[in-house]
Formats: sequence, C-alpha cells, structure tokens
Amino acid sequence: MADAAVLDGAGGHAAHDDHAHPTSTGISNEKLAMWIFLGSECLLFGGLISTYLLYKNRPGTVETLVASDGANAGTPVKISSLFDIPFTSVSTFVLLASSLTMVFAVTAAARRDLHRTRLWLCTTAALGAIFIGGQVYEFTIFIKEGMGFTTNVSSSSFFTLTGFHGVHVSIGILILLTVAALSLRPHPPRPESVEIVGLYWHFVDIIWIVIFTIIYLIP
Amino acid sequence: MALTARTPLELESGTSAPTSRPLGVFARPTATTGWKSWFFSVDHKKIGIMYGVGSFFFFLVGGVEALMIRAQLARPDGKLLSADLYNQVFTMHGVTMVFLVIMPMAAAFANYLLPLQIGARDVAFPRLNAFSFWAWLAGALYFNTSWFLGGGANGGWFNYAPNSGVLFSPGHGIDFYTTGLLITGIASTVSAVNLIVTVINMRAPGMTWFKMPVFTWMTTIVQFLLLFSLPVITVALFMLTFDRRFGSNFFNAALGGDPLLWQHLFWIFGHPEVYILILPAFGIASEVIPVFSRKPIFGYPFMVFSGIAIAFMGFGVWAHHMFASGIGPMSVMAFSLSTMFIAVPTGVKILNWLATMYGGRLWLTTAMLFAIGMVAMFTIGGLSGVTHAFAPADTQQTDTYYIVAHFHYVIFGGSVMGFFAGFYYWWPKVFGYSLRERAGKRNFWTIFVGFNLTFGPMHILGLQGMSRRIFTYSDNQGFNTWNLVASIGAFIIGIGTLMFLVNVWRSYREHKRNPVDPGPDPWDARSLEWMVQSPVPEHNFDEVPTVTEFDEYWHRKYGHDENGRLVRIADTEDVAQKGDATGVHLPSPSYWPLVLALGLPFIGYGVIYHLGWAVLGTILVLVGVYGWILEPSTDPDAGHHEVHDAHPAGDGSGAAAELESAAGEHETTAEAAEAERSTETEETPVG
Amino acid sequence: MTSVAEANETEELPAEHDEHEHPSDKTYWVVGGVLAALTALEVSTYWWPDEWHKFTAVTLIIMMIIKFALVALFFMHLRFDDKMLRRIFFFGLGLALAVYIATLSAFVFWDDSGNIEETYPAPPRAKPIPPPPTDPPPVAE
Repeated sequence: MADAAVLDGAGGHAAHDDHAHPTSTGISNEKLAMWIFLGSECLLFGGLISTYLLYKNRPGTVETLVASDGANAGTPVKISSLFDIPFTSVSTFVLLASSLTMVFAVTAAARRDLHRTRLWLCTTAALGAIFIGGQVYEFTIFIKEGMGFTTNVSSSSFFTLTGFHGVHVSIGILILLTVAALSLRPHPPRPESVEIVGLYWHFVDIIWIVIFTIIYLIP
Repeated sequence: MALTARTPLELESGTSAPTSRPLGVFARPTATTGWKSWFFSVDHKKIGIMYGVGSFFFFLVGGVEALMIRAQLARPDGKLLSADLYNQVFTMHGVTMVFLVIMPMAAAFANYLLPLQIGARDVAFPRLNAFSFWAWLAGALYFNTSWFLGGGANGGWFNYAPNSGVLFSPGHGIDFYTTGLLITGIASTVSAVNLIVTVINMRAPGMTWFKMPVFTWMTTIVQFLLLFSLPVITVALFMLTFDRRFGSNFFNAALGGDPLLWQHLFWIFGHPEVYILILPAFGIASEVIPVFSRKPIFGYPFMVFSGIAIAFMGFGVWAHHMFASGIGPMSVMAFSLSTMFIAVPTGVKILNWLATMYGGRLWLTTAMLFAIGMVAMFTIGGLSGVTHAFAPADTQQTDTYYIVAHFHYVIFGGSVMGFFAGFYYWWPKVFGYSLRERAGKRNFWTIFVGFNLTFGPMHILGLQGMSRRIFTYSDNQGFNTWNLVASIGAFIIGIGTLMFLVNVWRSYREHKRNPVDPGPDPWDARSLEWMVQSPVPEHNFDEVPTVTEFDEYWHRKYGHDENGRLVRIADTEDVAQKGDATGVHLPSPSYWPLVLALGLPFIGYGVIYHLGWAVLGTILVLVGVYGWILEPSTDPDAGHHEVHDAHPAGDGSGAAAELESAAGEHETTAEAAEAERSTETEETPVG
Repeated sequence: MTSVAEANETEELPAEHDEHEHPSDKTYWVVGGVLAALTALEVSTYWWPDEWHKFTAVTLIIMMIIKFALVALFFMHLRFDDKMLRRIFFFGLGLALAVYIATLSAFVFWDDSGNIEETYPAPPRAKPIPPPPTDPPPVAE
C-alpha cells in the first residue's frame, strides 16, 4: 500500500500527462476525495433505508389514510401498498441506462474526444431528468391518493428516503451539465473530472439499485 | 475530453500579466496584511489559527454558561435562573463545548500541525479548508443567535424525544440546534475528507504510515470517525427538522414514530463523537510527553494500533448510553461486553505514556504538566467510565451527577487539559514567542485544583442521587456542601482560564518590548514542524525533507557514537531550515469559500422562519459554488518566483492547488447539496 | 463478489496496477446487458406467487448484490483501481451494514410484521380501561 509507494520524484506518474503531480499513493487527490465522500454517503443512505425498514409496517393508528374498498377496507394504508412496480421498473431501467451512458462519457473523455464527451454527458443528464420526472409523477400520484408526507411514518420515511435520493440525482444532473458546459471553455476540465463525476453518478445509481430491491420489490 | 497542456505555473520572469477577473467582476483577493489577508486566506496555518481563536471565544461563552449553572446550583433553591432558562443554559453549554469548542479546537491543531508533521506545504484542498472553517463559524454564530431569537435549545445535548418535539419545546431553540448542527456537520465532513486526502496523498518522501507522528495518526483516525459518524447524525437531524417544521412524526410515539430510533442514531454518532473529542488530546499528549521525557514514545505501534482499535470499537458500543431505555437484555449484554473491551486499548495508551516517562529525564514545563495532568485526569474519567459498562450499576448512575462527573473528567480533564498542553507546547512555533513558564505553571495548578474541586464532588453527589439537569434542589436533600464546593471550583477554573489569557497578553507585550526569538526548536523536539522557523514561514518547508526514520528531526540531531551512546551529531541551526526559500508556489486566496459558507445560515433561517431567507441562502451558495468553479485555484498573477521548487515531488500545495479546481467543485457541489437539501425539503410534498 | 465479476468478465485483470487501464467499450456493453437482464428478472419477481416470498426475498437480495458489485467494480473501476479506494469505500459500506443491522436488531424488526404493537400486544389489564368515545380504526394486518 502506501508504505511502499514512496514518492518517486518527478518520474513515474509524471509520465501521464493528466497526472503531472505525483501523490504519495499515485491516486489523484480529487478521486480519492470523491471515494472518501462516497464511503461517508453509505452511512447516510444506510440510515435512511433503515428508518424506512423500521417504519414501513407502521401505518399508525390515528388520522391515517384508510382503505375504502377491497378486502382491507377500513384498515390503515401503508405506503408500500400504493407502489406501482411496472412504472418504477421503467424508471429503474432509465437510471441504469444513464449509468451506461456515463461510462461512455468517461471513455470518450479518456480518448480526449470532447464532442462525444459532451454528447454522452448531456444524454446522461437527460436520462437522469427523466428519472426525476418519473419520481415527481410518482409522488404526485401518491399525494392524490391521499398519501402525503405526513400521513403516517411509513410515508414520511419513504418520502424522505426517495427525496434524498432524488436530490442527489438532481445535483448530479447539475454537475453533469456544469462539466459539459465547462468543456466548452478554452481550458476544459481534465478527463479525470468526468471520471470523478461519473463516480458520483454511479453511486447514486447503486443506491437506487438497493432502494428498488429493498423498498419496492421485496414483498 | 481534450486535454490542453497544463498552463505553466510560473510566468517568464518579468512578464506582467493582466489581472484576472473571474466572472469579469472581482479581482482575486491579494492582501497580505490586515483582515483581508485572514478572511480570504486559504493558508492552512492561518485557518488553523482562526479555528483556534474562534473556538477559544466559544470556550469563554460556554464557560460563562457553565458558571451560570454553578452559580444557580451553589445554594439550595437557587433563584438566579428559572427552570426554563436553566434548561437552555445547560443545553447550550453542552452543545457549545462539544461542537463549538472541542471539535474546532482539535481542527485548529489538526489544520496547523498535520501538514507540517507530514512534510506538506498545505492541505490537499486549500479552498475547501477555508470553506470548512467559515461554514463552522457561520453555523456556530447562527446557533448562538438563538439566544436573541426567543431562547436557546433546551433539550439537553442529546435532545431525546419527546422533549425535542414541538409539543414540549415550542420555541425555536431546537430548530436552531438541528439546523446549526447540520451546518457545522457539513463543515466537519468537508474538513474530514480534506484532511484524510492530505494524509493519504501528501506525505513527504519517505514518510510512510509508520513513520508518521502519533498526533498525525490520532488526527487521521478522528477524521475517519467524523467521516463515518456524521452522516448518521445528519439523518437524525433531518428527521427531527422534518418532525418539527413539516409535521412528520418520526419520533412521535403517539403516531407510530419511535423515540428509540433517535437515541440509536444519536448515539451511533455520539459514541464515536466521544473519541472524536478525546483522540486529538491523546495525540497532543503523545507529542508532548516524549519530548519532555527525552525519550522516544514507548511502543509506538501499540499507540497507533490502540488508536485504530478505539476507533473501530467506538462504533460498536453506542447502546451503553441507552441501558436505561429498555433496549432488551440481549442488547444490554452485548453492548455491556463491548464497552468493557474498549477500555483495553485505552489502557494500553495510558501504560505507554507512563512507560515513556519512566526512566526519562523529565522536564516539567507547563506543557508537560498539562500533559501529565491530562493522563491522570483521563485515567480517573476512564475508570469511572468502566463502571458504566456494568448495566446494573449504570442504571443507577444514568442521569445523575456521577455521569456529569465522569464525562467532565474525560472531556475537561482529558481533552481541554490536552489542548492547554498543546497551547503551551506549540505557542512558540505558531506565534514566534514563548508563553511565560512561571505564569504557566500557576495557570496549570489553578486549573488543576479548580477542576478537581468542581468535578470530584460530583461523583459523590451523583451516588447520593442528585439528578443531572435538575435546576435546583432543596435544603434538606443533603446536597448542599458538595454543590457549594463544586461551584467554588468552577469559579477557580474560570480564574485559571483568565490567567491563561493574561499570560498570553503579558508574554506578547514582553515579546514586543524585548523580542526573544525562541528559534525553530525551543524544546529540542522530535517531529518535522520543529525543523522550520518560528513562526512557520508561509511556504512551510524551504525544501521538503526526505524522511528515513520515525522522529526524523530528532534523528537528524542525535546519533550514536561507536560505544552505542547517544550523542548530539548536529546543531539545531545546521538542521533547521532557514525559511528563506523563494520560488515556492502557494495556492491563492479566494472569496468564494466565504461566500459559500455565508449562504448556509440563511438557509437555516429559511427553514425556521420564512422561505425567502432560504432562497437568498441558496443563491449565495450557488454564487459561491460557481464562482469557485470558474476561478483557477492558483492565480496566474500571484507572486511568482524565478525558481520553481527544487523538489517537485514535495510540491504538495501546488499540486493540490491546481488539481483542486477540477474536483474541488464536485466535492463542494456534493456538500453544498447537503445544504440545499434543507431547502429542498421545503418543496417536499406535504400531505 | 470477485468470482461473480469474473464470470462476466472476459478480460484478464491487469498484472500491474495501472489506473489508466480501462476495460473496453465491449465490456461495458456486456456489463450493461447483464445489469438489464438482472433488473428484468428482478421485476419479474413481482408476479411470482406469494407463497414464494421467502425465496423471492433471498433471490432479490442476491441479485441486488450482484448488480451493486457489477456497477461498483466495472462502471466505477474499483476492480482496476488502487486498493486504497476499494478499502475506503467497502469499509464505509460494511460499517453501514454492521451498524444499521445491529440497530434494527435492537428493535422488533426480524419478526414477520416488524410492528411492535402486533408482535408484542400490550398485556391484558387487570381493570379494563373505559372504551374511548369513538371506536378507533382497527390495526392494520
């Protein structure tokens, strides 16, 4: 590990032009920082997911939404009974596809292909936007059904979890567009910036992989 | 993405460049003196000093709050504070001391010393470092404005439900608590990422992991603890904010919520937090004790590994804070056992300090006295802590003054004494003049005696059954004597703190009248920071040293003769660097960290009062972020020099500075996300 | 996880660590295809019979882990990058799992309902409490 990776002067990594300044480990500072930050984010989403798991079967007893028809008529409704799996599956595929397009943005950047990089970045952002649109639509449906943020703790924890994820995706879209715009400048960002943005984007995707399975699919 | 050739850092000699105006409006800050040189600085040393001054200010604020508590409790049926005001004062005292004093004071030492000890020119992301400081200060001031806006938080520092709910705390104090801690949490997370990257990536040539000084190790461990524990409290704080501001019921048992969830989340953060508070002081003691014992630290790898073990185990003991909460016999047993085990690595450390002193030629300077005091007081606090591991005993002690005694022995006797040791030890390095030793020793004994008078009797009071957080007691409960003693002790601590300030002032005046250069190495010390002049030149190292040994600097001064006896092989003047290097490229100052940080409290006010404030705050954040992105981290016009650093490998700051512009932006954007989330919640559909 | 990854990977692990050794576009398409296929399989569990719910849950979690690993190791290059990055990220992940599973275990969570009111109904009272003025809605199943 790093014990062995003693700084080796100007040689070694300096040969790579996007690594002009060697670091003790050979990893660039930014990439390392992003991974460290993502390690921290695991605990953030872990907390939100745990909260939802703890509360998902607690529809509460007072002032809750009550099913009006069907076998469960008169019993309080928990949010999972409103999930529209086919619809969310489409959103999931969209976000998954955005991860693939993000990868192509990174490889294009590595090839120094500015034009393609921009194209893939914008595609990724667009797919992200479709995902967010789907989430907003889903929320609207829930609220129309009477399941708002404060209806019961299962809905509060659901909206908090998916809301945090949605905010992460939105910020990701903003960053993607920013990097795409910056690449128009005379001194575009280094290829590695695209890779680092990609790390964030894929992380948001893997969080959705977990959310989709644990929150939506597991019966 | 097309890679353009990196723009050369230096311009040709004599070339004058046009002033660059990011966004076409502002020139970069260039001041080297006056307040501007501090406000827009990205120099880790200036930021460290600002952290220190800021947290000492809050130390005084929290100290005044402590004295109000003790004045109220000095006599039975105290009338100084009402019950409600008392709740606010002890809550604000606790939160201030933990989040606005000890954590930032540790950050002050970390910022100043960590790059120096690993032989770097700055931290990995200098502008993020400035942002951390300003965000912390903004959050700290914001939190304290609650005093003027209807009263401070009143739920205790761990703020259990249901007391934290709107029903029992209808004022805005707890809203300031949640949002204020979120802001300071952002600051700490950013700072943790920054310092971890610095340690991993910016060590001097040859500075392998097991040649790093113990202080650097402990600080690094603390940053990992912060990194992994803060997101947990972030979740809890967001949920509490939603409960209070947007009508959810996460912690409302009446509507399906679970108050225990808050306790778990709080203590998953809270117990690592305890080690976040104490490990920096362990690090300081591990620097001070070897230097003044004239011996290398005993069992260096054990020191390091016990620190790592404490950090690991610190995540597995949280529920011992909840033995009285009804968490079930299995949980109680598991956490009881893990808590007993965590005493082992701590004991290893205490043994190692004693073994370091054993057989050494002790030089009882003020710094050494404080360090020894820290070890002794922490041992007492640690032992009373072990008694909490036994659940049956703990259920008796919970929420009594015994607990108060315990954690003050750990946090005041441990952390604060450790920081005072650090002040006296590193003062000449930081400010270029020494604090007076005689006054320092009086200072130590005053604080030491006052401290034991204050918190020693609380053990007895607690076992007698005096409840913690009770705003008064009556005459016939038998608490009178020890409470009076404790109150007298508290005022003695107050005097001791003032003595420190007087010492600083008088030492400074004496230095102005009759400057005595302490030289680079007044204590004949061991680690790299003593190799540079005092005060440390802006570029830290003229030439980044190549490290071959643990205690590198000491090994450059001392060696063994043919009989194996220790002899001095070089004078300090020959080994120390002159501090006259030119041609070192440093990161340029910037406005944007300050702008970005200023946005955060407005978002907080927006959550509490009116959305308009949050809009203003978000605009500030966005302006800060985009100003930051568009500004090259190293100003092409900044003072360039003829000669570039002879050791490009060690040109950490330059590397950091350049690289920062690219990913600093992502990192901050992601962090700013946290801030923006609080606005985002406003738009969350509320059913 | 590595064995899973290797099953879908045709390239050899670079003998020497080099950050710039990226897998080819073809690899990404393959990984993307596997991810899509797994997701389709996941979605199909929605129509699996209810009696299988334990089996379904286990299958879903396994598929989730595979997908997670594929994205992290290939799309995020963890497989090809410095060990340090892998350690930091998986340490955070592992810590999150450990801490939160412990927390959930401290609650009534692993029981089927996860609802404390159902699992541990309040003991019968010696003296019945007077009925509330209006009947509360029955507790959910």
